[in-house]
Amino acid sequence: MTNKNTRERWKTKIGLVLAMSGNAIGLGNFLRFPGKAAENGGGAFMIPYFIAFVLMAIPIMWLEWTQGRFGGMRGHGTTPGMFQAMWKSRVAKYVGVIGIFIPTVIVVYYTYIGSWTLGYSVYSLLDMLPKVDQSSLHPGMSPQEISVLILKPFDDFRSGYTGVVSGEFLKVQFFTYFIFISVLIISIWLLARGISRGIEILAKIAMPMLFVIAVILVIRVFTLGHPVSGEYGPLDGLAFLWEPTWFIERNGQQVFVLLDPKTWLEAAGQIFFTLSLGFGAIQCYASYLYKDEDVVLTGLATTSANEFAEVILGGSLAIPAAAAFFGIAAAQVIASQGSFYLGFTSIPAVFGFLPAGNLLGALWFLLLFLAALTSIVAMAQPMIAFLEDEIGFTRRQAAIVLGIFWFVSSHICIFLRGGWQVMDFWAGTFGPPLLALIEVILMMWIFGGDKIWKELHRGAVLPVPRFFYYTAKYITPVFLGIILLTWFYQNIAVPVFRGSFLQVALEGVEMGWAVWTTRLFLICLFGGLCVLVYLAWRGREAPE
Amino acid sequence: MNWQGWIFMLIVWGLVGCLFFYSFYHILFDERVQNKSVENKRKKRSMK
Repeated sequence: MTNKNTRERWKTKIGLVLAMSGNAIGLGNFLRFPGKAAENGGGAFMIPYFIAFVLMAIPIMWLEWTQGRFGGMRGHGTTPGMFQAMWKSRVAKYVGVIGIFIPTVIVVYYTYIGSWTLGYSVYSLLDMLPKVDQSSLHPGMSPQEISVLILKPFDDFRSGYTGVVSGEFLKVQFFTYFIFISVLIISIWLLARGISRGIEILAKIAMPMLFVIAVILVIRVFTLGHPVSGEYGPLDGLAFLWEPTWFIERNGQQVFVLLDPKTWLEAAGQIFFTLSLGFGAIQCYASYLYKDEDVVLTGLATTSANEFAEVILGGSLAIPAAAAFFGIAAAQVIASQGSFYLGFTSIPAVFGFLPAGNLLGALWFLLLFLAALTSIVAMAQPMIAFLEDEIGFTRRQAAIVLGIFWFVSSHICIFLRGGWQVMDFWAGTFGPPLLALIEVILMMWIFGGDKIWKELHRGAVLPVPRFFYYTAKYITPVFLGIILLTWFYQNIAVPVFRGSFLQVALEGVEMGWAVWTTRLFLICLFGGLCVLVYLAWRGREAPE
Repeated sequence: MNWQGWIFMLIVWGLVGCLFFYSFYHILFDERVQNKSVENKRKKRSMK
């Protein structure tokens, strides 16, 4: 355990807020949110989204900040030590392993996906993305015609860039690999420089740049006018995103969107993903706070910055741009194809029709890269902190050890079919609600709601309404429990009843040995982390 | 966009925008917050 007095600290409050915002703002803000909103009833989706935001996200966010500062003052930057400090049970530190497992797995695949954005930015800047035929787009084209005649070259290019499936392997271009290695080296270098000299400086440069680029692109999108037909423009994209659709089709049936559990799960999932809740990363950053640093206000500022980037900027870019060129019907089809289709296939095609489109494309992918890079370092930091605080490594040693692990394990995502999807399923979809539920129960029920409330208010300039105390204690755990039970029912119980549990991969990819290899890697990683925790605490508890 | 769309969009943008400017206003300009930052800097120096 590091000495609490020699522990590194954030240099400035604004640096801390920007770094924490960088942790939260990622690809999901600009790619995942518009797609999810459009798929789940547009404006109607915002009702469950904001209910989940108030009843779940804000209480969990404040609890994670408080837990992080509490742990940091005792020399712990990660959840094993924090859980142990709050819960005097021998199992507490092993339960806390989930909080380093999740960000470490995420950083392995997220770095690879984040590197695509830098690669695309370079390709776009050099004008090496596929070219659009200006005469091929005309009013009245069907979504199918647009997909085949306009978007297919971009989709083929994306398949080539991200890896062509060959049996259980992926064939990846040298350039893809080279860019990935570059991003990996940049990330390790930033982490090795430390909190104030690495992560904070990155955030102070990257976050303002990200907001400026996003504003430039939003202005460009809303000055497109009616480039193809007088019948549709960017405002129709906004309408598609914001007009409430109360009845939507699910599995061939019309359902009322607010009574459909899937809408609520999607809204809660988006909130978790976008704010990086239940990832273990917020606690780690918060562990570098001073004892009396205000977590109420800084937590609120980072949350609002993330929501600003997602709801206002993210919602005003990809979908309105697609709607302006291809019309609402095609924008619906594009949104239903998923985040990557929207960001890597549709947007480069849109910019291809514009003057200086390659520069706009480069800016768009640079925006995504900045969002990804700030999240990558945030996800890697818990493992660095664990190696420093609990194992006793220097920061440089920790960065080297993590770098080697990172480099080796990333090859599962790069070369094995379904590798990153399996990791994303367990660490990015299942893990966060589970960790959040454990955290809430631990803090509000085991450690004590009144103690954590007092801890939350230490140094706070603004008082938190008492409403959030009762929400965190009673409503949030129930909300999380329902999410996990529904997840279990849909992903485990239903396949078991149907007898397809071992035939069809839960992770949404075709079953094969590559899927099993990735699962085995995850099991070994979790087991290895438990052994490290055991060794760290055994060394500490051993008689001198 | 129909009137429902405008209402939904303006309410959500308004809420998010207000929260954003409210919290950043306090961080950048609230004297109590600024004084605390100065205290923390002093603490850091004294630790060295």
